[in-house]
Amino acid sequence: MKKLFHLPPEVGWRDHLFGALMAVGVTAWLLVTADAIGFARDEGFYFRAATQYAGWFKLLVSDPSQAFERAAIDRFWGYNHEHPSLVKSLFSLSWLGLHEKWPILRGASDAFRLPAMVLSGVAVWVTYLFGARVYSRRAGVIGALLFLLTPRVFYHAHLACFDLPIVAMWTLCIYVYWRSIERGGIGWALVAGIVYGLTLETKHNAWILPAVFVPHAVLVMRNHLRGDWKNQVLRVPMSLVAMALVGPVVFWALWPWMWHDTAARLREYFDFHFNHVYYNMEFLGKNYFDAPSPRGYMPLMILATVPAITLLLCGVGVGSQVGRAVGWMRSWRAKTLVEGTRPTYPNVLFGLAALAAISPWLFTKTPIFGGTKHWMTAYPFMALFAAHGLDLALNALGASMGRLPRWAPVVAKAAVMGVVVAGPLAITSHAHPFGLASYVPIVGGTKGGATLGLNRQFWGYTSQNANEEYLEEHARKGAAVFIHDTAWDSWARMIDEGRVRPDFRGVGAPHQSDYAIVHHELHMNEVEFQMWVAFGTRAPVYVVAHDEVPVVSIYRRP
Amino acid sequence: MNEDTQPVQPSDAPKTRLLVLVRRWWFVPILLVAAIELGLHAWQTRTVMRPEDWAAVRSTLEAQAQPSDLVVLAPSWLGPVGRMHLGNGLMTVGRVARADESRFSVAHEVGLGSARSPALAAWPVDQEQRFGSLRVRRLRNPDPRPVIDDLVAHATGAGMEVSTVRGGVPQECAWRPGPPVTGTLGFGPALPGDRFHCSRNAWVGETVNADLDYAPRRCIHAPPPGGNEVLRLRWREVRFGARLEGHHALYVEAERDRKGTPVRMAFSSDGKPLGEASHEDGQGWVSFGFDTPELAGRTGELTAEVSSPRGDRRTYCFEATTR
Repeated sequence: MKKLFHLPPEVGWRDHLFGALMAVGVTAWLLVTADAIGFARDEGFYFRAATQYAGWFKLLVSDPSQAFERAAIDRFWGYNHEHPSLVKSLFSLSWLGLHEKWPILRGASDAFRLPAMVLSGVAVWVTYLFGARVYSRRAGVIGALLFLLTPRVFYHAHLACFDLPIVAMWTLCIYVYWRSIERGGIGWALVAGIVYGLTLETKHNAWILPAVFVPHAVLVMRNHLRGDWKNQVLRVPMSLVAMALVGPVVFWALWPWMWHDTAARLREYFDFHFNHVYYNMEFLGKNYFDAPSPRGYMPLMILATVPAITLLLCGVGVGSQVGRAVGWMRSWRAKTLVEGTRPTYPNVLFGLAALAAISPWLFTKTPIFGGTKHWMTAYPFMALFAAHGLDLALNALGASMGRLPRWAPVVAKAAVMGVVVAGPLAITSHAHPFGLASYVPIVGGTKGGATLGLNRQFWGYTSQNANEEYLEEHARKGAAVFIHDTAWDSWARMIDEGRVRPDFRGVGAPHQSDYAIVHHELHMNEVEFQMWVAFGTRAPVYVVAHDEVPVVSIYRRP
Repeated sequence: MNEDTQPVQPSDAPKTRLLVLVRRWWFVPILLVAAIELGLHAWQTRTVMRPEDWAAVRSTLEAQAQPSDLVVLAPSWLGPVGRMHLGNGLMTVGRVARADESRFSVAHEVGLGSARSPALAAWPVDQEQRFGSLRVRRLRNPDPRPVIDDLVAHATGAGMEVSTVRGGVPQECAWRPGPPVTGTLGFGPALPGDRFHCSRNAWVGETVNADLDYAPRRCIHAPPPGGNEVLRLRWREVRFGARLEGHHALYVEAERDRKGTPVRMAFSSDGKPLGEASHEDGQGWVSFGFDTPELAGRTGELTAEVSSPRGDRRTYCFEATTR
């Protein structure tokens, strides 16, 4: 028994078990806190998509040959075909299995949302493993926590959307690739190919991953590349070959929409994302709705939404690695470089992974409408660098306490780790359920963000809060409610699940309503002005606020 | 003697000691950030605006603010909460959707802490009162330009006639009461219940428009029909001053792409031209003005003709006053 709990220096199954337990804990935490977050606009679309795909899964069981016919595929998979099907299929199967067939989850939305929550847990698990293998188990734990304890990550982790799933798959794909480089062998290479295919099938961010793998592979294989070219083909890492060959096959095989008229549908898919429409987004008091996007958006939003201690420690970790890289370069130039037999350069890989994730927002043509969610794939790696930075700080702390009793540094390090995690934990839990309105203390918190003119929300998910805080108690029976930016599918689901009073009648224009809600976003102001004219009042009857900053206003017909 | 054993020169000693100190304790300020951030979070998230403070602010303003005074909230995000607590009596449409601040001699600024309204930054503060975290400042306009007559206030069936004119033939737009009409994002300004109904579903009337900065502007919606057709607005009785001043813009989504044709507005009185203003997409809410010394002190009719080469999505809105 004692042996079971003895941690060998090598990372192994116990670490996987620990990571899995973290994943279960994260999933459970997300599940119990999910009721507080109303349904975001995109969730409404994905609920509908998942429900439609469920029809195809049923057909697949009852009449497999018909299920593969084009008519059936087009009927069931035509909706929302601009995004790959894997995650929506998971939503669908989760709903079919855990809500419809075996009603384990009371709310349909919990079943829809569960796969993204589980994948959020997987992201935490893989982050821990990466940290444990590259730095230390302590760094693994800290990295996993600092990643999760970012308000925007915690918010998006609740949703039946693709944003946390792609973070999980992006991180997993990089982890598997790195292990394949480290371990070698066709088995790991095949796993890398399959995982890359699953990542492609999760979200289009995966098409950027070659920008991570290829430079890293060149670095790893550089000694061989200087040899004669005849041997080079064999020296290309097998995982890269597998990703190039197996990845697209998995992508195609798991997306029924692509099975027919593949070339045209692929072209449509790429066209959609290369020419994506620009939506509105406020930044520093200005509404951006078209190119050029502001170059400062990504760095300032990271600064304003990721806890400062995470960023500072990330800076320490990156700085340390840059210092090492400079020393490495000097040795390499001086031809005095001495390395292990199979160096895998995980820090370079982390750096490339983070840079590739954020680099699209260095270009002014990239839309910014998704706020921070589109580059969250960088966050596990930033958290790992932060954990490395904390590791260095704790080592320095330990060294400075050398003359004290043995227990003193242990207690001091535990206290420091507690304080480092306490801030992000307090900020993240306080932000819930207004994760998109929340800003970190360095910019003055939520009030500071609003004063700076940073966006307070999108997707109209806060209608539920308007119901909970005011409408449920005050609105007359059968009242007509203008639902503003909430998607109709999201509203219908909120009604179905009793998150909004079921007798309410949603309407599409303020003048048709008894109560009109406005989700505060700069470009939505016009809707509020319409209410002033229609109702003859400028005074809302209630304001849903986070840290006293308005998120939703409710107007009542006089 | 190698470098490691070289004695430290007296002048280098403090520098070296500092270096040793930094190398040994570099992590302390970094780790302090964690504690500072946690403390800041606790400080920033406490509730600072109490309902009783707002009630006191409201009582104070109701006692002190004159109808001609401006009441503003700072920072701007405080708007919905402030309007909820202060009510319509204080937060009139003329104040919250004002054309500019020049017409007000006095402003009452309700600010959270030290927050100030940028438009009033140059106005001297006469008085400041504190109600918890809220401050009410009485500000004096250093250069007030009072309004003699407000043309938007006359945009009713009693005060104005509206017609579209094609080839010199006017077609009257009927003033009819009815319910307001609104939409959602992209709809444009709300149609007020009482408005002039013109051909091809066009309408003229007082509304609140979102300008290029998404700010509210109380104005007369007067879309040009396009081509050779003009929209004619005729005020029956206007009290003139030495100047006619105004602002104009299109609805934000109509002008932000800068693809529309310019809108021209020509003013005249008793057939005598007073001046023209032209608005191009992308200009936003901009001012115009003409000297009218010959009309100062008189009361008479005023006509404005609005036109544009093309009429598609020319959601034009303007306000004008005599000064």
